[in-house]
Amino acid sequence: MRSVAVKGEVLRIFVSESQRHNGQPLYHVIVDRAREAQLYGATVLKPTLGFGTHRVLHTNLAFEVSLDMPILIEIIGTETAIDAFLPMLDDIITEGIVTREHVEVFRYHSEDSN
Amino acid sequence: MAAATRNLQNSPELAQSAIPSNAAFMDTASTPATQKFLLRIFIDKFQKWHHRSTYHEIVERARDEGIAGASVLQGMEGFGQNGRVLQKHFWLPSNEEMIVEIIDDEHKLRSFLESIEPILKDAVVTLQPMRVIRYFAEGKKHIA
Repeated sequence: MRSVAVKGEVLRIFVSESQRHNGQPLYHVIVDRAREAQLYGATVLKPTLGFGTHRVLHTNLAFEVSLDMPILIEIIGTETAIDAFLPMLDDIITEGIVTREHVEVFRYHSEDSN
Repeated sequence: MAAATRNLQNSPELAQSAIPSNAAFMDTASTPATQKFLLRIFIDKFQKWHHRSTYHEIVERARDEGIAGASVLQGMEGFGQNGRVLQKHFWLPSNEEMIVEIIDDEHKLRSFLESIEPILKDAVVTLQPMRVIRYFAEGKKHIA
């Protein structure tokens, strides 16, 4: 079942896999916090190659062992929800890149979940 | 008679249908410059439609409808419409999210989305404008 299209935003957070917050992987903490907030969804993606603020090339090729892979977290929500989420993000991210952009959001529910 | 044929050839509908969709993709005469749209469908990897993964079905339908291109990205963790955290464990069948990314004209994407609505369950879909600046197809380079 489709909901009405709403104006929303997509937040993309680029951090590294090794970053931690209170002993837990940072990306995992971000997804947990996003779920507690009034956001529509979050997805963690693992790129195969990349570089970040340190300009060190990260790779997942077995012969070039790298333990510090980049991680991309995409979060979708309303502008208000993202605004409310950002201060928390500022508290737990010490290094990384965050982008946000406007999108139209459509949400679909299966009949049994509503 | 000849004039009628020429008129037919000049009619935009005919010109549109005569060109393969990929070649028409960057045709500035038929679409306003390079303004395209990006449709992204966030969906559970294990959701099925008639014994086939829903994301797979979406890509097949996009191809059948002559959409310019589609990519599927695999997520490793996330939560979606029903709020449960989908996390990959190496010892369990994983619940992961997939993202299907499709780029084309706004009206094509809107009608495509409408056509696949019956197979979308617990999905989040985003639509946003984007500029396509280079398009390589059939050995030709289109520069905007």
